[in-house]
Amino acid sequence: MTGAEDWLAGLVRALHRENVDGWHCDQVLAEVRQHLGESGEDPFAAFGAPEQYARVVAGELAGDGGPPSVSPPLLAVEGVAKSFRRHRVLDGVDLRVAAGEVAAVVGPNGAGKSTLLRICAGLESPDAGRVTVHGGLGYCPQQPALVDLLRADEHFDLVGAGRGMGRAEARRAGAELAARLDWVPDRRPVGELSGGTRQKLNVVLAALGDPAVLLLDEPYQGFDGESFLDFWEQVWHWRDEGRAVVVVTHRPEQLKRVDAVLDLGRQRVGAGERSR
Amino acid sequence: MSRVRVVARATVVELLRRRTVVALLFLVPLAFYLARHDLVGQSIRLATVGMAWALSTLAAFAGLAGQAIDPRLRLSGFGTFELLAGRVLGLWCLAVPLIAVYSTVILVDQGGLPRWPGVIGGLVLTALIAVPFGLLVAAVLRRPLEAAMLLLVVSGLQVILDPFGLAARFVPFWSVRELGTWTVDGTDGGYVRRALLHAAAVVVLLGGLTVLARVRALRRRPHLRVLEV
Repeated sequence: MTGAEDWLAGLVRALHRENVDGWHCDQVLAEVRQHLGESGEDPFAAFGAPEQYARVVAGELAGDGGPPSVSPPLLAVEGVAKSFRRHRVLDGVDLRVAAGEVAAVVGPNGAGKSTLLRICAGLESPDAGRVTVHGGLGYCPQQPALVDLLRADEHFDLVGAGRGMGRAEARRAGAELAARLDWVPDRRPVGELSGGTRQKLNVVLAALGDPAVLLLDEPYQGFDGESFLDFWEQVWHWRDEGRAVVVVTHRPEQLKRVDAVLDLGRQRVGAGERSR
Repeated sequence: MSRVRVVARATVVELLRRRTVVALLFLVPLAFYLARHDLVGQSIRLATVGMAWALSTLAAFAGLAGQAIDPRLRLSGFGTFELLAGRVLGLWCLAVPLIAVYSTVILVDQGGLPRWPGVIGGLVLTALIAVPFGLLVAAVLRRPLEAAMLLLVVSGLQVILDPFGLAARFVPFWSVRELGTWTVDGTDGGYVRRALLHAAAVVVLLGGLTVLARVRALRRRPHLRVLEV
């Protein structure tokens, strides 16, 4: 099976080049291995060249050409406008994110990405427009809103209590979410944690209690490469669970896999920009 | 565990981890008390002034620290009143050992005070007022330096102002001074009545204004509709 192993190694490299990594990559490999094991076929005969098959997989994952979602949105932003000192930052922004969809909000600095998320979270008032959320709302601010002298599990207690969770339940759920970001919370006060780890806690707190809508404002700041991939893997996992996820991002790598891109540099989202 | 208790516990834990602050919380009133140890009335009065400043500053910083995470907690399901009530409860819990220590120190040191319940009462009133006062200052000023300076000004006025003048009655801790006069100088019961009435009014006023300020800061904006699924 040396030839098959070489082919699989080539497939992994090709999948990474196509931006298919983490959980999805593992799933594809497991399915291919199973097929090859059961059929005894030559991988080239069964799947073709690794690069070719990786392109097919990436296309399927991105849902190229598929129709946009018609399910009712969990998050509906309608005509949101906001100005600061006569400078219009947001001008009639619309965004609809249904269950099982990921929307990316992109745009240059000062385009109003964080302002839009704060408006969606109800922390700031728009000059016009409205936001409707179905179900719970989890918000991960750009700057982690934490209490420096409390430990991570004490933060789980606090946010979990708000979501109606008991202490043990909140700590278990927090630890599980942290593990998916490759982080094991320890007993240090969060003020002693690295920037990236504080940001992981920031993400975990937003997702604690399984809110239906997740608003994530550049949540991967300070993440190393592996953590960055783990984070996006978690985003796809949330999508698979049927959550509506909005991610403010400067990073273009993952845009081809999201369901909608709201470009605040141009302030419009079109069906043509939907990549799924 | 109720939400109020969760916030109270977090407040206590967070403040207890500030070891130096805890030490100063106990040392500041002692320094004030010893400064005029030669005079019974003055030493007791200054101990309460020191405690008022230490506790209200502690409350202000607890309020400021909480303001960073309050929007997140509000979004997770906490009510504004639950957040405030939890913080007040936690701070009052921290005040209990302070009251116990200084009641013991003063009563033992000034042995034989006939109206000793007045000493305990004055310390209790100080704690009851200092906590909402500090939280209000934090809610309104929202910056640590400004908050600390205002608290210092109020503490200074409490020492400087003529207690019989009208202006003194607008200082939050006037009731403590009034009760102290009854305790040390043996004045009539009117002093106690006025002290309790003033303290009750001040606690209600400060608490009410703090609730209003925080409710406004953490209000759910009307543009957002959250529909339960």
